[in-house]
Amino acid sequence: MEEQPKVPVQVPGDLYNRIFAIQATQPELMVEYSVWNQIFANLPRDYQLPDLQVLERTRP
Amino acid sequence: MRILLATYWLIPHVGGVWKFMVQIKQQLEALGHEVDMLGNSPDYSKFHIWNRGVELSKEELRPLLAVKLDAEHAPLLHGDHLIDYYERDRYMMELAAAYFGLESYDVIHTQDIFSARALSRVKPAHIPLIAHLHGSVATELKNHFRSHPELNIDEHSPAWKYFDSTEYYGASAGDLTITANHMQRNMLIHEFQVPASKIAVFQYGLDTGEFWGKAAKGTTIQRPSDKKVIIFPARLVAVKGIDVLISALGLLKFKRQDWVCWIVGDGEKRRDLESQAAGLLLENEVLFLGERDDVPALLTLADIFVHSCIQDNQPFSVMEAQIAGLAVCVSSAGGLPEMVEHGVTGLVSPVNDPVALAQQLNNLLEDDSLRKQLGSNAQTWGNVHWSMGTMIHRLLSIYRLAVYNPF
Repeated sequence: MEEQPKVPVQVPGDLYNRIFAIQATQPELMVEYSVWNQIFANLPRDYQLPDLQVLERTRP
Repeated sequence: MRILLATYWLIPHVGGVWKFMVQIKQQLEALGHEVDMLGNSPDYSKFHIWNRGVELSKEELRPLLAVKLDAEHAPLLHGDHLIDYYERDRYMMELAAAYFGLESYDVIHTQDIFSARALSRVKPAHIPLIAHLHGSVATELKNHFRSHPELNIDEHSPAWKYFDSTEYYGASAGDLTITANHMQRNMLIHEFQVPASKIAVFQYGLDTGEFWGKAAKGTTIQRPSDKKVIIFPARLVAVKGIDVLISALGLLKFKRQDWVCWIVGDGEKRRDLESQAAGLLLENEVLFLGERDDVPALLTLADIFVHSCIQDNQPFSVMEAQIAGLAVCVSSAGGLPEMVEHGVTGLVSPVNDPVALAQQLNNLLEDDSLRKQLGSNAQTWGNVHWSMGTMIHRLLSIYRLAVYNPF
């Protein structure tokens, strides 16, 4: 059977708020489900953005 | 083993990191291993696993990062545009790596501080990470800031501190870090406080069979019958110090005219360097050959190789010149003194010292037996020291140790 092309599915970006250190709601922003879901599934549970360890050392 | 070679830099590329990655991929695959290559695309629009044709456009990632990491929610990211650019791009590498999936690899072998930090944050915990460093990004950037005071970036600035921080975290990210020389190892320990126990040193390898194969194809360039040839193959950028050689040649011309110089390569400094040569009335002696793919053949026609750089790690061009049996004149920058033993396998002059370099060139042009002896010594030493087999053996030993006896 031929593989069917993926149909783009847009979902709210807020679904992936877990990876952001400070979580804010922006319900209007939509992202591609197939991409972000795959990323989200493969990230370590403690993964966070931004990389505060690196950034903390940049303080004036 | 399944091995992922990863770099934050562009792949494919003309630079040394890409060349190194291609070499070890070929060598490891010849031994039955499977090797993928992950990096930025040449137009910076996506990250890709180049050999598999798998890619993720940054446009899939950028909009969400833009709103979630705005100035209100991630103020430290906005301390400087350089921090914002490099961090955001590294985060996209992290997300792309997660998208591609890292679970199937036995070893991840990164090639720079950004990819080391990135992959250490997203890889499964049980997969070892070997962080190979081919230079110091922080040192290069800080030199750039020092030489451009108009940027107003000094040691108190967020951008300055950012590259120090990234160098530390990138160089510490692996189970083991590899440098090509002791200069870089010592710098990581003393300037960036990377634990000494984490850093192994071993030199690069050169595929001499491939080198001599290319040399045998010949070149369309002809050497003059009555003059010696001085050759400097390099990208024409400031850090290579080609202006130092041209200044030295200006001095040399007063003493003798039995030479020509071939500058092989291209880059942003070409026009400046051509002007400098013209200003010293060297138009007939200094020839800019541009970017060429017959450098091995050109080396076999040359008599003296020069690498008067301001900063460099362990350039392939010096290794190739030694394998070709040329007398080499290098500066004392970076890792070069570990490549050339002064008076035995070549000559070493202080960084940015055209007078000393002119004197050395004069000596080598004057004394045929000295020139030939240095070249012969370099070739004998280089054939052993730059053995590709030795490097791959060391690399595989480290992979196996990391996989079967975790650090």
